[in-house]
This record gives sequence, structure tokens and C-alpha cells, in this order.
Amino acid sequence: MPDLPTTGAPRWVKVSAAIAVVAALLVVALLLTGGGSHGPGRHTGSQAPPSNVTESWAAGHTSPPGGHTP
Amino acid sequence: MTTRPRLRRFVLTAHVVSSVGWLGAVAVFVALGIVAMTSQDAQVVRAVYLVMEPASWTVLIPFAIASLLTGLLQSLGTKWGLFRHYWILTKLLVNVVALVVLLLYTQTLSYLAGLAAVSTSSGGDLSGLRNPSPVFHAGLGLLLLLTAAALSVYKPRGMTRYGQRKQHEQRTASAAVDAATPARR
Repeated sequence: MPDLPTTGAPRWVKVSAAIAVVAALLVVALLLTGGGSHGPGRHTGSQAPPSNVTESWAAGHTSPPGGHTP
Repeated sequence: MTTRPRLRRFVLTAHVVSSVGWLGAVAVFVALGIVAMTSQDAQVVRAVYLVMEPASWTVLIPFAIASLLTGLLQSLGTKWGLFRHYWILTKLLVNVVALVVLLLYTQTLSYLAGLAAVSTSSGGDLSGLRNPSPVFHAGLGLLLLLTAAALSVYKPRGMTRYGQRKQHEQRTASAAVDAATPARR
């Protein structure tokens, strides 16, 4: 059976892929340089929530901060 | 594998409703985030963060999961397939990325809700509560979901290599059936 001649990805796919790669690199760079302190990493790194918040959650709520981690 | 028309319409309706519902809920989160950033009323700011956390679990995440599941059913149960067209593949990636970020972000929403629950600020010191993060994340999420909605409507051309191979196989099989069937007059 002869090889099926296939066409490559259209331009919109290549442009979207390039944008996605740049965005992913930007996110990684932000996280590595600490600029991503607003992200979920704040709970595992040096910027842990105040202890009173944790105590409040333990006392008044059924689930602690981060308790819904997937 | 193709589904019956009645079931297909039901799944399509569920997919549209869940996807549009997700988009609308994210838009509300953008609005709530802006209110929390700009309101001078400490109780309003606290209320925003307190409502965001349960709303993410009762509205955002159910809609997001429903959108993903119905999208999978809809694509796999029709001739469109899941990996044949670039626009469907792109929608799948957008949906999965948005859902994963949303699930991870619930930790931050829990943190903010906890902070709002113990905060006693009465308007003078709102700087500790104000956080641009929800607006930033919801805004990016809204952009992604609007892109997915636009892809669904415009369905830009472009088949993957897998899609092209499948299409070629189907045409070959169809031609073979036509050749084997006696012509009717």
C-alpha cells in the first residue's frame, strides 16, 4: 500500500502552538523566579498561610486549606 | 462508534449547557474579583472571598467536569472523532488545562476564604485581603473558554495525520462497497 500523502498542520495551529509554548515558558519562569507567589505553590513554599488561618479552618470548617487537593 | 441521533442531541445539549455555564461562572468570578479589589467595604471584600471557595466546588468544577465528559462523549460518539481535527484536539487541551489549573487553584481560594473568615478588618486595613490573583486566574480562564467557544462555532479547517489516514481508509472502503454493489437503474 503506497504512503498516504498528508498535509501539514494549518497556520492557525502553528501560531496557537507557539503562543501556548511561550505562555507555558512564561509560567515556568514566573514560578521559578518567585513571581508566581499567587499560585498554589504559596501553600507549600515559604509563603505558608498564617497559622491563625489554619487553626480557624481546623476549628470551624470541615476541610482545611488545601484539603481539596486533587 | 456513533451514537443514535436522540442520544447525540442530548449529549450535545448537555455539552453546550455545561460549557456555557462554566464560561458564565468564570465571568462571575472575574466580576467578584474586581469587586474584591475595588470595594471600600470590608464586609463586601470578605464576603467575596468567602463565597468564591464554595462556589468553585458547587458550580465551577461540576460544570468543568461535565463539559469535559460530555465533550469526550460527543466527539467519540460522532464522525468528528477526538483526534481527527485540530480544532477538537485544541478544545480538549484547553478544557484539560483549564480544569487542572482550576483544581489546583482551589487551594488558593481556600486560603483566601480562610483569611477572610478570620479577618477583623473593618475598612481601614483591607490591603491584606485584597488580592489580584482571582481576577488574574479567572481572566485567563475566561480567555481560554472564549477561545474554546469560538473554535466550536468556527470549526477552523485542518485534519491531523491520524484524521487524514482515517478519512482515506473510509473513502477506500466506501469505494470498494460501491464497486461491489450492482448499479441500480
